[in-house]
Amino acid sequence: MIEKNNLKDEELMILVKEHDDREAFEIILNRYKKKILNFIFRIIHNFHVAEELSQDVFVSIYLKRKSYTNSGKFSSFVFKIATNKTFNYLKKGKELFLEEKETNFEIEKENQDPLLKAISDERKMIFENKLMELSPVERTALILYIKEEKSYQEISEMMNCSLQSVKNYIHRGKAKLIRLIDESSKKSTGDIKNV
Amino acid sequence: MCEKFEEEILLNKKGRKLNEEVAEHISMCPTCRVLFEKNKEINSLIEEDEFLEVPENFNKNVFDKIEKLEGEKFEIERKKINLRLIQTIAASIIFIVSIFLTGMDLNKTKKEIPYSISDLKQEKLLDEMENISQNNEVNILSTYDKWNINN
Repeated sequence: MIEKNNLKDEELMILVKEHDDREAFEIILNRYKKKILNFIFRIIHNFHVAEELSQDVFVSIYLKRKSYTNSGKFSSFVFKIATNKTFNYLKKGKELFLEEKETNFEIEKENQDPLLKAISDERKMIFENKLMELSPVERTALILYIKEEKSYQEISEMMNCSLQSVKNYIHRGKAKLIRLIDESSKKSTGDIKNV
Repeated sequence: MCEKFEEEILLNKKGRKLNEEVAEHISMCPTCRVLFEKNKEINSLIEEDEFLEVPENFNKNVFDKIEKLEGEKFEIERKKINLRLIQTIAASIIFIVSIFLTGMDLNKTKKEIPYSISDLKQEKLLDEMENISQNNEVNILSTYDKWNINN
């Protein structure tokens, strides 16, 4: 009998495709759920929506299993679906998204949501907030490039844009982040001096 | 001059080697060295591990959604098959009824027409023969009349 846990993602997905293997699918789910949830959360900053969207990513993978072609890395295939779901959400409900974002932060503060429990490091929290000041495409490109270690080519395929656009998003996003963090540290130094 | 190197510095990440020209410039230019350090700091913050834990019922919710959507898909397929079956039955009924009605019409028409095509042809032929024989008779009579007058 095959030890499924030792199989590569692509091999597991072939089992899912050809035999509707739920066990193989659950192994894939367990390997990627945390990555995908955090990836989507870092783009939209709403825990409940990120949870829903990341569940939908795996539902899509399972329902479209028959059309899966083993071309390219499996992780790129998963992140492409996640990027599409996130961008579609942002396109469809941009106004709703802004309202939800503010409301949810309030709820999370009161109920000690996983978000606040997890982000205990203040520096990390400041950084995550600064990251939110970038545009969604800049955030997505930066996370895929740095955190997920994807190439320009892979990112351009995931985001449906040119290689040059990917480079521009990363470059612009980094420059903006540096400026925002500099401003924030200057402000906090000024505050200390005033005290 | 530093602008030339800015993009290369900001696109740099762990595991990616700077080209020699940029590395040399960074070693000599304090502004670019600061930018290089800031870039490294930002990269390390982005690289940090996932901080959100996945809720316990995540897998269950995924499988529930799959069940629900596959159920809906199955229901849609079933409805499509039913619809196709109904369409086939309806088409067959229409076909059978139309054949039955056409058959009745043919019988009726057959009864109303007294002669068949061959009958018609035969009758026409007889008429023509009669005409010919009448004409011949007239001709014979006129010749006889002429002969009598002459004699």
